[in-house]
Amino acid sequence: MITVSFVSLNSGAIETSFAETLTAMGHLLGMNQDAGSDRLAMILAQIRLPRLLLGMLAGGGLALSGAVMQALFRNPMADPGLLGVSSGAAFGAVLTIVLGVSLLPGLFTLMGTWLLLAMAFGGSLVSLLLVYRLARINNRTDIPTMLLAGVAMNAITGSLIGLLSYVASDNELRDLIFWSLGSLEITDWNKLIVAAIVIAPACVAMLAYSGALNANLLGENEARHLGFEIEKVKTRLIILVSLVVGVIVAMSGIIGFVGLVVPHLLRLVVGPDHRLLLPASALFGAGLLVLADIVARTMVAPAEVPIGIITAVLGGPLFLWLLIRHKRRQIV
Amino acid sequence: MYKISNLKIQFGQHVLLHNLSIEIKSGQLCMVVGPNGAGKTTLLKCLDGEINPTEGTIEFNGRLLDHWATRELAKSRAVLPQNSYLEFPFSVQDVVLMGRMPHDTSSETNLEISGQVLEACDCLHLAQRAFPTLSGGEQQRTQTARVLAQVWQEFPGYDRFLLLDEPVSALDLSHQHSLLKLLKELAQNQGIGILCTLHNLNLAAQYADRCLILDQGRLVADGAANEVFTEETLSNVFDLDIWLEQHPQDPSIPLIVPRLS
Repeated sequence: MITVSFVSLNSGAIETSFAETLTAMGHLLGMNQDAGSDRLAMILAQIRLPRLLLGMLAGGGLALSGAVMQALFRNPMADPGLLGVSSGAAFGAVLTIVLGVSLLPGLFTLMGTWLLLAMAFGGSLVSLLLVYRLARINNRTDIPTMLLAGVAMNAITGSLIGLLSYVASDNELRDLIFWSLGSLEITDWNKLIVAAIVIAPACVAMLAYSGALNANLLGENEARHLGFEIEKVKTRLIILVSLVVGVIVAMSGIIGFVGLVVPHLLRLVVGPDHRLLLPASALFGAGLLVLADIVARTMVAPAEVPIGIITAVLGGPLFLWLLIRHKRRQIV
Repeated sequence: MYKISNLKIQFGQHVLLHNLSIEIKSGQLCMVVGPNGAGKTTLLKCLDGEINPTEGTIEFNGRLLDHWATRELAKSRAVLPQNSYLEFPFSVQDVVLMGRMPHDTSSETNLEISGQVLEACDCLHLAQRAFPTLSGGEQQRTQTARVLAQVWQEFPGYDRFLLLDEPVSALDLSHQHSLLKLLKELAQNQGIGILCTLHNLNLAAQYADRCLILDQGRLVADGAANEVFTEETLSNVFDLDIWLEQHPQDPSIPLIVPRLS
């Protein structure tokens, strides 16, 4: 994790050597006053460090949300991206950007970031609730219905975002593309702090439900008989997941498959027990997304590949493999 | 103990249970028999709190069922639903340990209990196997072990109770008998109240302290097997010509044989 973080700080459009990065970090911490490392220190503090932190928040939050959704749906194929929760949030965010700026300019400048976050949260909550309700048949999650509901959500929000892009100005249009492919580009420390204030406590709160989630895998009634107020637990977790996904999407756009891939790989290593799986997902997700971001920044440097493309290249095949495995199991 | 008074369950036009009043005491192995759709599972779901009564009341240990806190209830009462479905690769031991979730006992105690329960259900050799890789019968034994782990230890001040919906449906002959023998012991020696639905009348006759016969949502008979299992009642309820014999070793145990037509 530390290594990945360092490599992340070290890479970017401007080439630096490891030694230079180290000196610049020292400079930031006030360990030396060497004028030569000044410029680099600024790049670190204003560009690379916030980006690293956002990557960790987003990766950890998405992986954790994925793990929690899989336990809620009792189904290893749930993921905020596949089920349209992310795109719901993106729609909320885009709606705010496109309509908010023109209809309520005063309000927007005053509290734009919070409004954006609130709308993204609203979008993710509505789509998660819809998909959850649709996919439930007789207290069980029906996998085809769940995936189809996700496809429908993605299609609907996609078309709505497309519609909004017609009324959007050129500047806003660039934002729309950013949201649909994802990017960890951030230079505003204030935004980052706001995101951290929401995401970090929500993630910690999710960890507290690992016992209830284990029991929920046996069944909702079974969980109730084991002493968990499962309806309350579900409501709270749906809100927490929507909150985390909403804020992440508002900050960094749609980054798919992290929530699917990470819990899956970790289940093979640490097993399905959420007391281990949830914290491991958060850590590994943070590391993986930072790593993906390094690839995104260095592959075609000085230009950047949108990070959503990198995660989709990794996650898409894994998703197919899961489907094939599921199909085989049904035949046997 | 459970006290059911004037229980009625109605979904739309369908009345699933008519005016049931039953009291089930601790230390009793009580079996519910009856044809498909008689209301056995519905009765169990009312007792476990999944279905709310349309009319009437259900009391558990002297308090109305919905006045119990979920967690508190889970400490003294365990439920085995008819089918459980678990796709995630928990080990058999992990599943059984989940039965200890409502309790605040130490993990050593929990491990000890899970060992005892696994042995009692003949699952000890499966302890480290992944649940989804087990056969249907092995899965059912594991789930039963989980439910037993929940009430294995005495819980001072509370009567323990087990609700089991067809716990032997996937078990082979020897495991059917060993489980029912275990349940009978738990009722007699530990004072646990047990309500269990069952299809095999001969098993009910051999092990139950009390049999409830349900038919079309009505309680047709209630009492010891040799009192309530009569040729007339059973033939009527199951719509089959039934011949009653006696167990060769114990004439007080009725033996139910369908007549050749």
